[in-house]
Amino acid sequence: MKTSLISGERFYSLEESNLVKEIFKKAVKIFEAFGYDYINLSHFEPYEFQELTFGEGSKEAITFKDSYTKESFGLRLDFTTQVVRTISHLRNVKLPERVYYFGKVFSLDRRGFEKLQTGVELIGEKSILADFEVIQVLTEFLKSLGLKDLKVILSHAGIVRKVADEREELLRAFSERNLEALKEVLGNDIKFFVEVSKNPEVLNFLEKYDLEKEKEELLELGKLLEEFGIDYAYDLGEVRNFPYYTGVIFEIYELKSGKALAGGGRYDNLSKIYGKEYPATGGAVYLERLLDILPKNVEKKDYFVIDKTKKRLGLKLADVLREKGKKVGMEIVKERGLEHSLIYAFDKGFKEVLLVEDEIVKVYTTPKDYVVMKIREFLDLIE
Amino acid sequence: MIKVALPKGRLFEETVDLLLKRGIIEKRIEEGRKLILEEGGITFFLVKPSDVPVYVESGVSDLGVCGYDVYLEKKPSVYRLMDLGIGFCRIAVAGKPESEEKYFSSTHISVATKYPNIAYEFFKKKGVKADIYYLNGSVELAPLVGLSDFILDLVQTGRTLKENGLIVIEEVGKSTAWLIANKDSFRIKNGQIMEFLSRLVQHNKDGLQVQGSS
Repeated sequence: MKTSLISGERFYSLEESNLVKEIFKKAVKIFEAFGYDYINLSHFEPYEFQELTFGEGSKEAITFKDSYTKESFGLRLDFTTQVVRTISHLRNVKLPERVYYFGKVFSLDRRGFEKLQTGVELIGEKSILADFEVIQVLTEFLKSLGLKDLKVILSHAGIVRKVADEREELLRAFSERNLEALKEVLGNDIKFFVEVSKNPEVLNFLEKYDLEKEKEELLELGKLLEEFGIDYAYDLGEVRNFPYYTGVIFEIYELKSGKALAGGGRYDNLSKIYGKEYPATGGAVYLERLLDILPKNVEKKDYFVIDKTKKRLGLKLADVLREKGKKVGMEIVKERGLEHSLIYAFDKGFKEVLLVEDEIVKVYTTPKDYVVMKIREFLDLIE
Repeated sequence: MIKVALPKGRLFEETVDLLLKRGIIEKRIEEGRKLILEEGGITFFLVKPSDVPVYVESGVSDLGVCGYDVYLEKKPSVYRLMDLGIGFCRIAVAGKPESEEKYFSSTHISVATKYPNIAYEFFKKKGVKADIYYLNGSVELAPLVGLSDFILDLVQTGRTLKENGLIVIEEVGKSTAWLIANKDSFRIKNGQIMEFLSRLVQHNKDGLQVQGSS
């Protein structure tokens, strides 16, 4: 038999799908509580621009060619560029613009072509308060999902860029954390690049490399996080794969799983590629990792109705219950015996099964236990 | 507790010797049927050398001892912290002596190897079109029976080559064992990893033992 599976795609079980939906509902609630607007984005990006924004990374894009216009385009590689591109084409933009998104990004990553993300972008403000807000929103969102023990790791895109000074070898050494290669160039300063610590003194050496601005920003952000009870540490040797970052960059870890669940940073020059000029910052949550660690409890449905009446009283009862806000499914398989219907219904997560026979209804709470009452009486019991 | 993936086979003994010498473990651990060992407050996983980056990249292991050959071949998304200076060998192209001239004059050759990615990159850079046969072992057999013109493989002493009448034709690179780290672990367990590192690089009678490398 032929298989319809594609190696890079991601399948979600119904339990995982339900969790994705619950996560989205939480995201909507938390992001909107901070005054963010939902932005629904295109799946496509012009390939020319993917090359400009992602550099080498654009090779990972899943691309197409329009046979009429001969233009190449790719599936969106991430949300930040797509948000900035979209905003740059919107009329009546009032800065700062706060938006959130939810959906998939695509790349030829051998571990999976599609990745689910949700996140926020804060466009049009350059102060560190904006960076703090983004971290705060994302942390609150993760907390709302029941996650504790979160830790923000702070870095700054300007540090490695300045220290490496476009020396390819050194940049590579940074991204591989090749301590020996780093030591050759940096000598004992190497310790500042490999220690991940909350101690603000690790920032002092930044002055030696004329990185006062970076130092100030990281200090200020650390103070804000401290004030709001968000745990953090500095990791000054970090290199992020996205070349468009210009300022503070961060990742939010969950300590029990040891995984980064969200990340982002400042990208003040990205909008120039689209002919605009506004500072911006943002961050995304890696939902696949959340799916790995969050419990997958599917909310139960209320009633499964088996209609044995000629007058279709069961169908009508189901409608009445739905009007009352209940979640109600109907038995539609005719040739199935009652026992099998009951087992099916409880397996499917219905709390009760209603067997409707003329004026009476048998209310099953397990495949074996039921109480009998008149339909009228039953309805009176429903609030 | 920190978790370290160790390669079974030729690198195992050398790695254990190093860990003992640096006092990271006090009791020798043996390669046997048991795949999870605990010693010196560290959990060791004993895995096939080419699987080390899989365990480390996924985060199942925080650290791993990985041959540079394996690192180059797999290009895992991990940190490559330091050269341990053990397990030295060469990655080289070898073939029958009479094929040497063909190697330098042909535009199209065939190569058998356990390292298809290294081979692909190497010949691409040279601008030579190479048909690559991916093998899992006994690579030396390939040129003898006419599967390929050449092989690209690890060369330690050169004895296996000699016994099969093959010679090294061109060196591709050198390989030693590296300490690699999971990127998340590096940040979240930074204290423990730095402690492990500082013991590895501590000075001893021989002076600073960390060697430079390619």
